[in-house]
This record gives sequence, structure tokens and C-alpha cells, in this order.
Amino acid sequence: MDIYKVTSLLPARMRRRIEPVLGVVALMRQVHNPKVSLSMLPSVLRGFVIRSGRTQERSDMVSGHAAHFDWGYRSDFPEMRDLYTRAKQHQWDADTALDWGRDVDPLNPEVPLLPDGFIRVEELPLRFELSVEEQRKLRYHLCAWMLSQFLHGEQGALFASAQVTESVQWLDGKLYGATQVMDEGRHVEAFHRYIDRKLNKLYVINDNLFTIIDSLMTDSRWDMKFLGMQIMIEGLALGAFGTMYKITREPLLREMLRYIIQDEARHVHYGVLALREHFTTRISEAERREREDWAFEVALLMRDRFMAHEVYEEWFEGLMTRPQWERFITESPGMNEFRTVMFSRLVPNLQYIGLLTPRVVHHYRKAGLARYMGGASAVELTGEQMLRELDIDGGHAPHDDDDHDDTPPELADLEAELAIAS
Amino acid sequence: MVLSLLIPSPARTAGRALLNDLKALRASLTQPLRPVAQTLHTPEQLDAFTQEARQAREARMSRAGEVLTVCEVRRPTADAVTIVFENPRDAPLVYRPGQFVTLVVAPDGEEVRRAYSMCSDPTGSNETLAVTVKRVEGGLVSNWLNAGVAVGDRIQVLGPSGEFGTTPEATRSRRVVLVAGGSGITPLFSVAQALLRGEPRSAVELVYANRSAQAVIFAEELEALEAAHAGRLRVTHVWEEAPEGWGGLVGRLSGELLERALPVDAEAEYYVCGPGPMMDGVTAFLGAAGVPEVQVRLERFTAGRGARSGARGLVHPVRFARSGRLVQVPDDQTLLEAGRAAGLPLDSSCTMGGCAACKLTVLEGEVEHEEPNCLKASEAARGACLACVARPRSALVIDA
Repeated sequence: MDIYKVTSLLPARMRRRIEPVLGVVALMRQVHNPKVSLSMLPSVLRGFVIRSGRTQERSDMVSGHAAHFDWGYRSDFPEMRDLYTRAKQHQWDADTALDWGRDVDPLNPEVPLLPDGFIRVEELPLRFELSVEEQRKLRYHLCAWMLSQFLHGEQGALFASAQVTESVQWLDGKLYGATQVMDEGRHVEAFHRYIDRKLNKLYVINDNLFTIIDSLMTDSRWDMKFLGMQIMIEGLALGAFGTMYKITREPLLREMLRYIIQDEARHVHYGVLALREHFTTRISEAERREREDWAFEVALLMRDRFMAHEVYEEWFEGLMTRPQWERFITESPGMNEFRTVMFSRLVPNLQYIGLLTPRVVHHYRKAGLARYMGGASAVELTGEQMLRELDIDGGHAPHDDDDHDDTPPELADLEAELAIAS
Repeated sequence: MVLSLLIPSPARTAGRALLNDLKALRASLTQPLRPVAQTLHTPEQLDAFTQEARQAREARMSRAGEVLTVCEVRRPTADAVTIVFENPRDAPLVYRPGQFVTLVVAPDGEEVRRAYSMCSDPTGSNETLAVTVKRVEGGLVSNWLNAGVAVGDRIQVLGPSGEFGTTPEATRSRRVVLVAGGSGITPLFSVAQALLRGEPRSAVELVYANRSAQAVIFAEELEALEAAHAGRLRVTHVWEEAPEGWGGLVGRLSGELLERALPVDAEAEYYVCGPGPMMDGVTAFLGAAGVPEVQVRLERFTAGRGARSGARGLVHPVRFARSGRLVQVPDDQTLLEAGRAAGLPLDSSCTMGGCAACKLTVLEGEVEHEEPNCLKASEAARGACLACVARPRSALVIDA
């Protein structure tokens, strides 16, 4: 029986509370490690049932981690020291680096935030057609939704990176961590400013994103925070930022993302360095298994549940069912591309840090994520290479050459697809 | 939830988190959802809002609004003020007996609207029009007008609006029963004058309930009318408190007093305006006495904006099916505001649920109306809504 047929009979307000919980219950059933389910339960409760991110203006997340001091000050991780040096040299000021005087009209078809083909509007299961203006507005709202989630994610990153800076054992890691805290603060500043001044539309945090952030913020183990923030969320961010950077034609947003992606590449690199060392040499087999399963669950959350439900509720609730929207948005070229970029970054990193053993590979295969294995990890793929892949040449002068030759294949695919769709 | 204690973080932290969760859970059950799309109010945006509001107002004004000048102020009782406006000669406000206008005033600097029935007779000289405002205890606008309105004041007036009342036709011969409670006399006084002047073969009976003799608005005018139209107007006063020796009806207009005060005639037309309980009593009585529902017309005075109990800070999709527009409407916004903002040419007049000029049909979904409003139960049952006081409570499809 289709449970959504039953929930569609409920009043709108109740439906909005119940349907997301049904979604996450289905998701939790895919998780095979009871310990992982149990440890995520409080976060799931806060994220999906209490919906703290929506019902409260502020959230307090309590963590029990220790601040780890090192009175010897010995340089103990040369690669991290190197990252620290590069991070210092690449600091930028959002006030002066970006041209905030530029006018942004989110509905201007000449300068679209997202291209026409990002979603296939004609495939919306509606009894009527959206006008061209409404289609534009829908893409604008989708863009505002994505950027709002970026902003909320960056706030999580700001605090998680501060926690990690306290609790990580390597002194070089702490120094590097300080630069990341600064980076994340700047990202919050820049995203908020763009949303506030240019888009005028902020969405509340997505329940799934809240759950992931809550889970890693309240976990007292530093490596769980690290895994959650530096690998999973930063992986999500790189996928999302990379996709949006390539497809948006709005110059200020493009330029802002270009700067931010350079920072993000360092963050992932840092996470990969720290965790490979830690997971391969310092923890027990049982502990590693738990992290492996946790990462898998978060990957599922990111794959299955990052579906702009907040946009659905404002636009189509009552006009189509939630599963219909989920199908539509999952199959849209833009979101498909976003998942591809995200997992092609994430899965090789998980593999590199030792969380993709044969034990869980079949889960990934079942979930359709195994095809991303074997790609370059953040270590093999240095920050600079990653930036070049995204058509950035080291991060100085802006350059607007959209038809650059070395477009990564997955983005070239998207561009081809978008060209066909539009 | 107890399971959260088992997670391998220190038990104290988990316990604290558990307590917080329980508190939050309790809070979430009583708290509305925060807006899904929360608008950030930047200075530029506030400017835009103000401008948008101004444009919307100007659009309304060009449809049905005027700024009128007060030319006379009268005091029919200690607690009421009659405001007489000059009716502009080049473009006079044309209204039917029984209709009302909406005054737009700003007693505290913030714009508020109140509807007041005309007490003047439009079928006579239409050089002026008048409303009578009774002081309401704690009422912002009624007290402000009673205390402060003066000749020469210029007040923005929207309308006229309203379906209530009747227009005289010289050839008709009918029995009309007017039932007024307190300031409910205003539209009925207009109706009475018009019928007496314009329908010489019709008879008018007025049952007029008040707290006391001092509260009677238009006492002298009614006496004069009775004298001028001997046999065609009969006024029956009902007072809750009466001086000793008064021979009239004493008590609240309900129960047994209704039988004594109200003529029952299935052929007569009844026009009723007054406090809610009185009107409910009158309609129930007439219904039971066999007067057909269509013979009884009601006018309920609308209060200020209120009744937004159902707003949860959500945004709902609203589809205007005929014009083919899909709009995202916050649940504290009226359908009229939302439709206008989306560029739909929706009709409206009083903008406070009193005139039905903005009546639309809801094909799917649920709206919440501000109460009271002039929507009839039978209209509501057919899915009608008043766009100016209806807010979405779910996704909607509107026939507009």
C-alpha cells in the first residue's frame, strides 16, 4: 500500500510533520549496524521529529570532546604544516575580493542563476504548465535553497572546525585548523551576504543536513567530527559548489564560488591526511567498522535526502505527492550532476582513508555508489589540481572563459545534457 | 530516547542532551514551525516593500478610493459621533441605502481600517454622506474619531461596499421590518429614510433595541420621520433599562420579548443589524415562526483584523486556475495580497471581509477566514472565500 496516499488525506500541517519522518524511517532500515543507528538516533530525533532546525531560531548542540593541549610545540605533521603555510598565503577578504556593487536580478533570463536545463520542467507531474516566468522563479528558488543549505553547512563547518582544532592531537593540525576556522567564517559571511543582499530568500536548514551536523557536533570523538565535517560535508560542499560554479552564469556567484572552492579543497585534503593516519594505525577493528558504517549512512542521507523538500512544500505540496517530487528532483540533470561530482570526490576519499573495505563495498554497490571507486583522492588530487579541474588557475584574477578546454568529463556531460534540454 | 544514554560519549553529556531533547520535544509540540522561507529584511528590501504597499494602495485608490473632507460633526448621543463628508461634486460616491464605507486612518501612526455604514439617505440630496461611529470600549478607531474628528479633516474612504440594504422602487408595495440593536441602526436609518421617501406605498416598522434611552441614536430624527410619514413608519423601542413609568418594552431583545416586539409575517422583508447574539436570536425566532430565510437579510459589523490563529509560518502553493498562475503564499498573507502581488487583477472593495466584492471560489484546499465576515454559510459550503480575509492553510486551487 502506498502510505503517501494515506498521508495525503491528512491536513497539510500534519502531513508536513509526518511525511519526512516516513522518509527517514525507510532510510534507517537500510542501515545494518545497530550501533550506528543507535548513535544517530538522538540526532535523527532532533532533526526529523522535533525538527529543531525549523521550529527554533537557535539551537544548542552539546559536545563532550576534550581540548587537547601540546606543551612541546614540536612540528609533528609536515604535510599539515605545508597546508597551513599555503592556507595563510591564500587568505582573501570577501569585502574587497568580490564586486558587491554588481546588480543581481534572480529572474533575469540573460544571466540565469541556474540554466534552464537544471531541472526538466516539462516532466513535472502537474495537470497544468508553468509559465516561463514561473519556471524562472522555480529555478531561482532552487538556487536560493541550495545556497541556503550551503550557508547552514558553512555555519556547521565553522563550529566543527573549531572543535576539531581543539581536539586534534597534532600541533601542525591545530595551526592549520585555525586557518580553516577563519575560512569557514569568511564563507558564512560571503554566502549570507549574497543570499541577503542579492537573492532575498533564505530557506531554513534541511532536516537531513541538520541531522548530519547535529550528529557530528554532539559526538565527543574528534575523529567522528573530522570524518563528518572534513570528509562528508566538505565532500558534499565540493560537489555542490563545483556543480554550481560550472553552470551558473551569474558572475558574482561564480566568482564567490571560485574563491570558496579553493579553500574547500584544502579542507578536504586536511581531513584525508589526518584520518588515513588515524584509521589505519590508531583505532581498533570494531571502531573502524563503526566509522565505516556511519560514513555509509551519511552518504545515504546525502544521496537520498538532499532533495529540496522545502521547495516542494512551497511550490507543489497538494499538487503532486512527495514521492513524485522526489523522483522528479532526483532525476533532474542538475541534481544528478551534483551527486556525480559529490560522490566522485567523496568515494575515493573514503577509500583512501580506509573506510571502504570489502565488508561494506557491497552496500555501496547496492546503493549504486561503487562506480565512483578508484578515482583520485584528495591526496593524489592536490588542491591545485582540483581547482584546475574546475577551471580555476590557482586563484588570482577572475577569468570568464567558460569554454575552457580542460572541462572535467562529468561537467562536460552536464553541459551537453543541459544544451540538449534547453 | 533512553537508548541515547548508550552512545559512547560521557553519560553526563548524554543525560544533559536527553533533557534538552525532551524540553525541545515539548516545545516543538506547542510551537509553530518557523517560516520555511524566511525573508531577510534589508534596508533596500524594506524600501521595496514600502513602495509595493504604496503602489497597491494607489491601485486600490484608483479603483474605489477617495479622500473626503469632513464638513460637519454631530453628536447624536454622548457616545457617538456622526461624521458628515462632502461628496465630491465631480465624482460623487454613489451608494445604496445600507452600504458601508471603509475609513483608513492612522490614530497611532499605523494605518488601520474600519468599516462604517452610511446613515445618510443617498436617494435624497447626495451632496454629503454621513457615517455614525459609536464609541466602543477599548476601540482604537472609534475612540479616536469620537475624541478628535473635526470639520476640515481629510479622511481616506474606500468603497462603498456591501450587499446589505435595499433600493426603493416607487411602484413597489411591501412591508419592511427593520430590527436594529445599538449602532446597528446606522444602515437601517438610511434604509428607512430611503423607503419612506422613495416607496410611498410601502410601510416600515423599526424595532430598535438599546441599553437605555440615553443610548438611542437618531431619537429625534426618528420622531420627526414618524410624524412626517404618519402611518407608514412605526418605531418600537426596546430598552434594557427604562425609567419608571415608561410604557415601552423593557429587557434584552431575546426570548419572550422577541414575540412581543417583532411582527411575524412570511411576506414581509426583514433587515437585521446589531450585536451577534441579538441577530442570532432574531433569525432563530423568525425561522421558527415560519419566515423564509431569504426574507431575512443580515448585516454583521466586522471587527478589526484578527483571527489568524491558524498561521504557522508556512508557505503554501496557491494555483489561480483560470489565469494559470502558481504563487507561493505565506500563511499570514491574504489571497488578495498574494494575488495582487503576483499581478492578478483581483477585485476588492472594503478589504475587510464585509462586502464580498473579492469573493472567489476555492476548488481545492483549505483557507481560514478572519471572523466575522459577510460570507453566508451556504456560500462557504459551496467553497466560496473572501480573498481579502482568507489565508491559505494548505495548497490551494482557486477559480480565478
